Parts: sequence; C-alpha cells; structure tokens
Amino acid sequence: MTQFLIAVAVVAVAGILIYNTLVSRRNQCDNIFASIDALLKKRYNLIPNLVSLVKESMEYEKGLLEEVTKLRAKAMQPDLTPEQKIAIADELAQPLHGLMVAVENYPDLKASEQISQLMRTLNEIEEQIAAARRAYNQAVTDYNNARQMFPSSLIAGWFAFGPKELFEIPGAERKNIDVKELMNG
Amino acid sequence: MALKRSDLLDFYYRELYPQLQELEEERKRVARQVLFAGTVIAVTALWLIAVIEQNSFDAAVQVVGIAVALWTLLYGWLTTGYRRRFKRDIFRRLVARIDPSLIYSHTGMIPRTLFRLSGLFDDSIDHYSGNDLIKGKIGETPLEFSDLRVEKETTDSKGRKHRITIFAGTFIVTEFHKHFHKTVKVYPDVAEKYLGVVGGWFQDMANATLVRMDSPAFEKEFKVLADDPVEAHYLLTPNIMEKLVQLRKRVGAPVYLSFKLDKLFVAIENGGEWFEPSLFRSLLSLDVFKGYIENLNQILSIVEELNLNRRIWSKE
Repeated sequence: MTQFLIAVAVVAVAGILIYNTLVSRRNQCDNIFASIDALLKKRYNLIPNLVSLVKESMEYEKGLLEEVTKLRAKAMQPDLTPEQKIAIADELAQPLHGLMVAVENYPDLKASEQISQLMRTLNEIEEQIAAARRAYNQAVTDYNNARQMFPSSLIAGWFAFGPKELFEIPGAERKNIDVKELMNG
Repeated sequence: MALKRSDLLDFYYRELYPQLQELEEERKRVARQVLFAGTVIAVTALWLIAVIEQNSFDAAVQVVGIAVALWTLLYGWLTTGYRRRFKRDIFRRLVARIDPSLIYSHTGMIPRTLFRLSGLFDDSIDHYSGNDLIKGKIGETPLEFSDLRVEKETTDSKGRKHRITIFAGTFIVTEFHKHFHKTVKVYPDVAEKYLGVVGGWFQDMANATLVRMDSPAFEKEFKVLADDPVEAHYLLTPNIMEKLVQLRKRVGAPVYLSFKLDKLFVAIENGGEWFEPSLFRSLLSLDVFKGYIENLNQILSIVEELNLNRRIWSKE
C-alpha cells in the first residue's frame, strides 16, 4: 500500500512539474510576443517623423512614402489580431527598407543630423524586431517540443495546450532589396 | 593590426633575434637551476616520506604539500629576472610593433572592480593578481586586457587551508556598440556538450533565466543566462554566435562573456600563460615567437570579428 502511495505521489509531482513547465513556456512565448508588439509600436511612432522630414526632398519616391504612411495607418487600427499585426508589419518592412535605402541617395538628407539620428534609431529597432522574432521562434520551438514529447505530451493533451505557429521570415527580408524595383512600384 | 605576417617575421629576424640570443643563454641557465632545485626538492621529499616512522598517509601529504610550496616559491624566485627581461626587451617591443597605439604594462592588470562587475565568476575573492596589461583602441573601440589569477581560500575538515582557482586566464574588457539595458552572460556549456539533450533538460530545471538560442552549433558550446530573451537575441546575432563558436575552437580554452553596463567582458580560461616566456623550449624557435603573435591576434581581432566598430545604431 505504502509503495503504491509513493508511486502515486511521484507521478503526481512529475505531473505538476511538467504542467508548470508547459505553462511557463507558453507564457514565455506570450511575453516575447508582447515585446515584438512594443517594438513594432516604437517603429510606427518614428515613421511620421521620418516621412515629414524627407517628403520635401523626395520628389520621386512619393509612391513609396504614401505606401509607408498608408500601411502605418493600417497598423495603428485598434483590435488587430496578432496574426494581422505581424502580416502588416511584414508588408511594411519592404517599403520602409526601400525608403531607408533611398535616403542614402540624397546627400542633403544624409547630411542632416536629425535624419541620420532617426535612421540609426530605425536601424536599431529593425534589428531588435529581428532579434525578437528569433527569440519568439526559439520559444515556440521549445514550447512545441515540450507539447509533442512524451510524457509531457500527455499533460499537454489533457489540459489542451494548443500548438503555436512559428513566424515565417518573409521572403522580402531574405533577399536584398532591389531599390529600382521599389521606386518603380 | 595593419602589420603583415611577413613584416613581423622581418622584425623578428632583424631586431629581436640578437636579443633573443642573449636571453636564450639566460633561459638555459635558469632552466638548469630550476631542474636542479626541482630534483633536490623531489629527492628530499621522497626520502622524508620513506623515513617517516608512522608511515602515515597524513604525514606524506604534508611533506608533499611543503615540497610543492617550496618548489613554487623557488621557481618564482629563480625565474623572476628572466621573465622580467623577456617582457621588457622582447614582449613590450612586439606589442609596440603590432600596434604602436597600444600601451603595455608588465605589472599592470585589469582592476578587481571590473572583474567583479562582469558578474561571471564567484565573488568571494581572497587572492587577486595579474600582469601583462595591454590597453588601447582598435578603430573606435577601447580595449584592455591582462592575465589574471583569481583565487579563494577554503578550509577542509582537518582545518587545512586550500586555494581554489576562480579564474586563471586572459580577461578582456571592451565596449559593446549597441544599447542594452540588462545583463546577458555566456558560459561554456558543459552539460549540453557532453550529455546532449538530457543535459539541456537539467539546465532548464536548474536555471530559470537560461535562454535557448537559435543556433545549434552555438548551443552545443555555450549556454546563455539573461534577464530578457529578446535582448539576448539582439546582442547575440547569428553572426556573433558563429564568430564565438570559431573563437572557442581557435583558442582551445573555455570562453566566457558578459554584456553589462555598455561593456563586453570576455574571459578566456587559458591558465594565464599565453604571454609568459618559455623555459623548457628554445626562445629562438620560430614557433614560440609565432605563438605569441597568434595569441595577441586572437584577442585584438575580437573587436573586428565581433564587428564592434560598426556604428550604425543610435549609440555614438
């Protein structure tokens, strides 16, 4: 009888540990997603500034500026789902990078201290966003591994720990930006 | 680091070789003395152990302890002059030749406060010593490093005191080029390297702040402790992780890193002998000389390898 009770206790403790691990991994994913959200907001807050500083000089990139402004407005809408937020962020990445590259072609703009400071901050945020996405993907991989591996898969099944999706790294981010194509588009 | 290898070899043959020849004579003399002293101590110790009446293990341990202490003392005393001359006449000139802006001090060391600030090692320090401080700027990035030996004392159940090494090796302090707010520490990963996946599980359980990185090669060699996983990924880019794996392989010694308060601390646990003159190998051997250059290069190239001069972020 005692042996049976000990066995039950061991199984119960193991079960609790596994459950807690699953919860902490799921929370980890959510926390990192919240950081991504915060970083995206920081990026959106900089865009009006950048657009107003460069629009006078950038005659030929009007289309690019409009696209960036339009997508930014779309991203600022309330009640977006996480998937929508990421989709808009991905859509915005390409014209925004195009704009940043285009600034390099204007010596006047490049020389402005205000713009160069803004570009540095944007660069920083872009890299932070990329890092946060990597961190998120790693956290999701750890969580999904725990969900699928035995014996934690049993607990995950009983308590309905659903799967989480990895972020696709968009194709546009992987290939080098073709500035000409962007300008014509 | 503008100097080419061929320039350095030229420098070696033209300027250092005559002095190395003189120093080589001294090395041979010192090596003979050290061998003689070592033999005398060893024979005496063995004889004492043999004649001790009780033939007890404790007494033998004590004799060996005294012999080791005496040997350490004598070794230090016999080799001091030779080491000082080597540093003054050879090593200082080599450093100046590699980069004239570097300042070298034979007796200088990274201050204890900086070592502590890194937060990488046990903080209960009883003995702190070091030498061969090199300070300068590589491009825009300030860099300083020295050899350090950091120890603590413990007392065993019989009341005997022992020194335990906390760190022995080259300690590097430089500036990191990105803004960050929290601390990220990188340690050699003993568990995952030798125990694989199971080792990884144990790490998960033991460290609440352990962050898994997205590079399997890096994860195999290192483990990362950080307050914020996003910041850990921000500082440890795929490129930096790759370079760190390469650095670990090149130096052949455990590598520790800490990103804290705008600084990057790198500790290479190489025993602290990288810049000491050889005693039992000829100083005239080209390999020995190349070894010093290689080791200096390993450290100075960290700035370039980790792209620390790249300033495209908001930090000036």
